[in-house]
Amino acid sequence: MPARDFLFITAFGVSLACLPAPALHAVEATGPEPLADPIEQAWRDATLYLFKESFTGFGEQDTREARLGRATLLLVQQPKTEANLNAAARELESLASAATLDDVSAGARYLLGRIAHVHRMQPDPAAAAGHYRRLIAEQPEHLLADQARIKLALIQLYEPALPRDQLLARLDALAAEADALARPGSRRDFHLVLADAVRHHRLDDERLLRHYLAADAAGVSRPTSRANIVVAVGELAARLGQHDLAHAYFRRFLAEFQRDYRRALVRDKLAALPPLASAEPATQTAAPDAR
Amino acid sequence: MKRENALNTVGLCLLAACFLFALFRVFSHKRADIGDGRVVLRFAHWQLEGGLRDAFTQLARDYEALHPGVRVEQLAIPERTYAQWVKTQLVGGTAPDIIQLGGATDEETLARFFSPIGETVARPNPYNAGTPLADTPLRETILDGMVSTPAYQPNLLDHYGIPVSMFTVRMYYNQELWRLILGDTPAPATYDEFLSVLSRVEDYNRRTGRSILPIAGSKANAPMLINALMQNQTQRLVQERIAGPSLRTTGTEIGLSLLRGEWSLEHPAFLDALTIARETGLRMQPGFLQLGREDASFYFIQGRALMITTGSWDSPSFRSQVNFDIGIFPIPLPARDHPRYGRNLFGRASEAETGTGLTFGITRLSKQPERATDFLLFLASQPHNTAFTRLSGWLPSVVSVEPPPEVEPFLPVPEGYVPGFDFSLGWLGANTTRVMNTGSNRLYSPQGSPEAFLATVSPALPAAIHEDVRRNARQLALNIARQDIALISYLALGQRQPEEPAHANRLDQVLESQHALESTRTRNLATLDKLGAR
Repeated sequence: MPARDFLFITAFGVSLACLPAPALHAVEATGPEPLADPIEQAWRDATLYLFKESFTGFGEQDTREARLGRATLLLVQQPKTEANLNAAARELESLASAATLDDVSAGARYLLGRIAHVHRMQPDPAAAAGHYRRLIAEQPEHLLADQARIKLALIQLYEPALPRDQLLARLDALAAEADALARPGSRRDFHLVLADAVRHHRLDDERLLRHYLAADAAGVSRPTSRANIVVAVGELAARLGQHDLAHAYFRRFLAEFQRDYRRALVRDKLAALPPLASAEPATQTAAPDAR
Repeated sequence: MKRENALNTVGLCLLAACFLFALFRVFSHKRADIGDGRVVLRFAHWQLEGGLRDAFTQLARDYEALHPGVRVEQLAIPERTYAQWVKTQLVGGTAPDIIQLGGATDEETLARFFSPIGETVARPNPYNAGTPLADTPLRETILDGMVSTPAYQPNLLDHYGIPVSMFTVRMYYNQELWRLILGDTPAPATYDEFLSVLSRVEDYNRRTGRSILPIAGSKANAPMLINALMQNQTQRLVQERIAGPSLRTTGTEIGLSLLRGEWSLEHPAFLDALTIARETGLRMQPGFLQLGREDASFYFIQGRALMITTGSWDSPSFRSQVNFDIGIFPIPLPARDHPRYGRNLFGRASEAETGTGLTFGITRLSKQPERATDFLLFLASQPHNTAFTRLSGWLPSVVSVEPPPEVEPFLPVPEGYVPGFDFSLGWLGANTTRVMNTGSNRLYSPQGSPEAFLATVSPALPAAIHEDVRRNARQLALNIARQDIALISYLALGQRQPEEPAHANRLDQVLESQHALESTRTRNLATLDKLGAR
């Protein structure tokens, strides 16, 4: 054998030999200490997007909760296939149609709506609306019924070629429905969805302002969203001549959001407003910019 | 034949020896970690810029002095191989305790391999004891409030990293060349002064036969300057035609408003943006958009270019490689009183939302996660972040840190207005950027013009915007689908443990985020449908 070949073979062998070494030492991803209850662990894994571990965690147990968990996880199994979605839908239908209505049946009915609405390649809004309506009728006080109302509103407000008078009537009815919700978070999200629809359909500023104010009153958690709403209320109030309200929200924005690049624009708009009707400032005074 | 057998035997022996050596190296790794009796803490990053590694080395020694039982090792991995290296280390179980977060660490990787640190950042940093920040939660001691990714992961609803620095973009100039060409002319404070400097460099070249580049450009550096100028010129256009009452917009809204005809590429402000881009682009080397970042850096470091636009991260590297003094000034943008360009803007763009960076996360594989957390708290404390900025020449991430004089010109300037958009139309997507890039030769060539650029770009742009909006909608659908899983999971956990408020809080965050995303997606797709398929 020529020496050159020998060297090549040796070098190749060395490379080959080094390959399995790290693999021998490879580990599964570790996490925090697993919980004693495998079902609880599986739900926790699902919140962390550890879908494979979560699916395995639900195991073969035949409890309704474990069946809901497995069906839920089927919606994001890779590769995403219609077969998986169909299997999930069959299991969810079985859980949702149980004689006793409970949290599991609410979750199952809601997910049936979601499969038709967003998970399938070809959405079926009519089928989704059917599931949402059934959930609202069967368990009207459930948190997921609130969510179903909001998702249903999304379907109703973006229906193609909806005549303007019907759209306005729907918006009014949905606004009343949103106001009637008991949970502040649901009221907030419902009104924000309505506000988006008002913007999309280029409707009046009064309507838009009303939805933003309702969402703000319900409490907006996400800072970016809250900042947008506070600015929008100030801007809309200024456009509509509600100067006291504009003063209040622009000042609130300047006090609350120190690191936002709209500050100068808002200061300019505040300065351009007529003086407050009352002598007292509406809210806190504007804070100086922070670095 | 015998000789061949012998060679084969030697080869096999070598093979076996190498295999055993590899095994030994892997399995002895743990023993090496405690070889001198100290716990070894390893952290990895891709920042090979000069000065930074020395700064980290010094900080590691300072930490070891405080904690004699610990040895801190730094692993600087080249950026080009960083993503593969991180994945291999994580999957192979040999990852260091601490890893710089970035392109290699997507949501799934973070969830699987990194520890969430939300509880840690909600508590005061013990290394801030004795400072005005002693009682302030850690996240509020960081300049951006730790709201930007990768420190905060909105879909995972938790913090996964602690940032140590932040970055801004400035003009760098060669002071020696500056004096030679421009005498005692000060750094330009206005756009017209900047243009005058560019013209004087060209005059100098004609007079002396030299070929000094006014600005070193590349596909990485040129957009930093040109985009800032374009964003300056589209400021008023955004507020008057595109942004809603929140006074803020997104790439998708910019694209859809163009498709709806609410503004056009022939709008005077966009034409001015193209004109100003051409004015500066012509002062860079021909074909600059084909060149890499290193090419532009070489031009500047070798004294063949008077100026370069780049980020604060290059400052220590440049200073260590050149034999001339470097001056820094902000990008000289037209002001509101500019006779030609002032009509398009409100004022200087604000840097208030400059995000933090150089963010480190703790791997789940770490044998000493508490120690790793402690080291990150050390780096992100006011006293030691002050030391970091002094040693590295990089910007700090912690509030109230006084930077050294050479870092001061890079401090973000919060005063100013919302910027407009550039060629990317607010980072709308790859198709839009690709179409815009196809017109760059027509804009930056000596025979080119804004009109020639538009003639190339305009026919292809609507279809590109359509595709990008649809692609963004598909990405949103993926997030929305995953949030359904999180929603059902938090609901189940809340039912199991009603006394635990964290589940309800997170459920509320998931719902708020999902409704907002789904509403946006529905609205965007409805707009596209209304406009008709392309």
